[in-house]
Amino acid sequence: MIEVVCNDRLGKKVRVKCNSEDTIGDLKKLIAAQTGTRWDKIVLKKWYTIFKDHVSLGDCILLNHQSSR
Amino acid sequence: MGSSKKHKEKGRDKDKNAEERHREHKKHRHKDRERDKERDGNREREKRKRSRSKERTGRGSEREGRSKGERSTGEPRVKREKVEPGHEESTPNAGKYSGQIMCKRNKLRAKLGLKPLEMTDTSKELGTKEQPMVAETINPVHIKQQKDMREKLAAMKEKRLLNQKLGKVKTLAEDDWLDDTVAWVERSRKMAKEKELAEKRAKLLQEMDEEFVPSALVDLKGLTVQHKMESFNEGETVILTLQDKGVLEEEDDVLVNVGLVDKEKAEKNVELKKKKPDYKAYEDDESVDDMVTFKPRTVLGKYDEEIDGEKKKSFRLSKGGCAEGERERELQAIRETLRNQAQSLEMPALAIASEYYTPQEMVGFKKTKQRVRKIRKKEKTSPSALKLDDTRNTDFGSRARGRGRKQPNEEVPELDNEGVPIPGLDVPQQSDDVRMADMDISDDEDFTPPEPAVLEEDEAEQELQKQLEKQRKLKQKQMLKDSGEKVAEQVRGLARGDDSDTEDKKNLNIVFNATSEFCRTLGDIPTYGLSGNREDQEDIMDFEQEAERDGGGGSDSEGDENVGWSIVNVDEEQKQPDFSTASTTILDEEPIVNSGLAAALALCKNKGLLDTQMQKIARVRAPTGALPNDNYSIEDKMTIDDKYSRREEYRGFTQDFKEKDAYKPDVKIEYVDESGRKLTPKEAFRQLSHRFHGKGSGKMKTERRMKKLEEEALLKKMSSSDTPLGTVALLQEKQKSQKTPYIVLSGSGKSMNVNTITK
Repeated sequence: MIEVVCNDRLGKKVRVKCNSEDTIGDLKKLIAAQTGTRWDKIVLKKWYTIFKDHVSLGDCILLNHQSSR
Repeated sequence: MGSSKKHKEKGRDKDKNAEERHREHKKHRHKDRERDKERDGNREREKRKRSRSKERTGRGSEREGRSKGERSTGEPRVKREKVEPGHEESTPNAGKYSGQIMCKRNKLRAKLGLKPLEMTDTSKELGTKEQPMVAETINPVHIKQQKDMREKLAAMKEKRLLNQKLGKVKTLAEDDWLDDTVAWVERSRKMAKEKELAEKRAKLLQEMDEEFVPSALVDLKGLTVQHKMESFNEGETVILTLQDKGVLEEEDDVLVNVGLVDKEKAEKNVELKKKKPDYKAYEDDESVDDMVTFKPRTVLGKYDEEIDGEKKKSFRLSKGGCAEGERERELQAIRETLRNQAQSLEMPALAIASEYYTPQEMVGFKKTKQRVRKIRKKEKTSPSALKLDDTRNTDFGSRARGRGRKQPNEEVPELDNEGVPIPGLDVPQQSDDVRMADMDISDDEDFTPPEPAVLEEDEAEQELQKQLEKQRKLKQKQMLKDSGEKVAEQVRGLARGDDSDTEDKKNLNIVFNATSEFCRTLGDIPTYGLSGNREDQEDIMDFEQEAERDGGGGSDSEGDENVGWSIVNVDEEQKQPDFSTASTTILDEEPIVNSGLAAALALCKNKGLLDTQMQKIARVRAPTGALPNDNYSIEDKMTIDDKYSRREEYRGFTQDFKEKDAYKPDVKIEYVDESGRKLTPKEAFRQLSHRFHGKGSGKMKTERRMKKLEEEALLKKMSSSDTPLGTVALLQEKQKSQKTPYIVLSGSGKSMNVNTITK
């Protein structure tokens, strides 16, 4: 289980726990459950690299403490 | 091998140690009862939620399963020892994420359709933020060694396996079986048996296949073929196979042909590549054929495929595997009927309309019989027509004839309103002009009046004429009263004895002529006959002039009317024989220009070339007197009366000096600058201003002024007849010195001598 921290730079910072086998889409759903936006409206980025929905978290190089939105 | 394991164990141990340390920090927790409960609960939950893990229960075993390579004996040891701590381990983690929260999370995940959270991977996290762990130093040498070890191990393993395999195969050297015939026999028998069995099996399978086929044929009813009916042509055999579907799907079988499927896909791709426009703003031309099937109008039809999924055309097989295209045939029949019923919207080709009737159209016209006219009517019309024509040609509405009087027909000799029969219709009446022309022709000879016209006069007309004649005569008499006009008349009367009657007769008519009217308006020529070029006039006496004019009037084309008029005019003009400039008649003789400047000026004035009007100079008056204003008035402060100003006033009667009436001095104020030049008003003002303000112009300004003055001086000095350089003067001097009328232009000082040229 990994914990992903997502920050939207506008005040919403969320820590989401998920498996590393989960896909980005699943992560987005979890984030949506916590933040209240719609999951298909969320765009996860690291710097300017956008994460696509079908990729699993384990395959994205997610470090220990990551902040992405 | 062992060493590698050891290394691995080390790695593992290190992880474990980290966790242990982590655990130790929270050792106090496991003493809590709550925690214990949770622990148990967690454990059980973990046990339950082993959905996808292949391993057995227990966190430790999970851990084991996840270990990368072989199991190390160390691990179970560690695990065994730390079964509790293993569970304890879970508890601090669980403590980190309390059971309730985890439950919630997993519920959420389940709702979203995700697998429940694994309680793993935290091992990776070496320490939390609060207790940062020193990360393991990456020893590349160490890593390389491990790698090598791994490779070696793998190689050895392979070797071993290979050996095992190969070991099964007996080498040639091992021929122990030869010795044992029984064994050989047994073996061969076994082989044969096996062969038989294999054959049997194959047969069975074949039979099964064969069996399968007819059964399939039997069950073809109701199967769908996922192709269009049109893709199957007559006469050709197409092999259909069952389409792939999921194992657990319960839907009907679908037959497809692989080739056709690919073809369809290719076609679809081609269509997509063509990039047809998505949106058709207007409906395509609907052909009659399309009207057979009812196509529901869809909105944004291009998205239907995306939303609903691709629709595949298919048809079902009926009993015995036949597919009848009955419905298709029906549709085709309907299409045919519609096509026949349809009316083409084409109009008949436009052709130029023929100007003539076609024979077909002529049939419609019936020939009308021409009526035979009665001869009697024809005869009747001819004489009157002739007569009418005559009158029409000649009668132009002369006054003699009368105003708008109709010509009575011969048939009905009516009496006119006045009761005078009008005979003599035979004689055509001539127009006035014609009559006048006749009169002209018979100019110097006897004046033959138009007899028949006179005879045809109406009584009223005659009376009118008489009246007018009377008046004229009165006037004449009046005019002839003074001086010897009576005598002239008598003379005239003697001269033209016979003419007088005619004149009288003539005077009965007032005939207007365009030319005569024009001349009348012009006015009579005052200088008529003065230069002696008129043959009729020999004596330049008033009376004779009159008489001549009368004669001339008679002889002229002016006609009767001028007889009376001309006398009057003559008299008028005789009163002003001098050619004064005041007369405005156009036919005035131009004043003689050679008589002097005065005459010329007079002529100019006449012609309007001189502007003799006094020009009024616009004068600006004081506004106070002009417009009296009720609501607004300018109050002048100077008019405020105060003691002191009033003292100075003189309220007496003022008058200009009488002696100085004629004194009108010509005041001219000239300003001069320092050099003596007269100043223009602008410059003068500038001078004044400088003096007033106490400072002059700046440097630039004064320089400019100086330059300007110098230029002016130079301009003045310049000679008018010569170039600025004085070329002419120089030329003249040179000529004087050389004593030649010319000068030789030579350049560079060298003279053009013969010597120099030859050089």
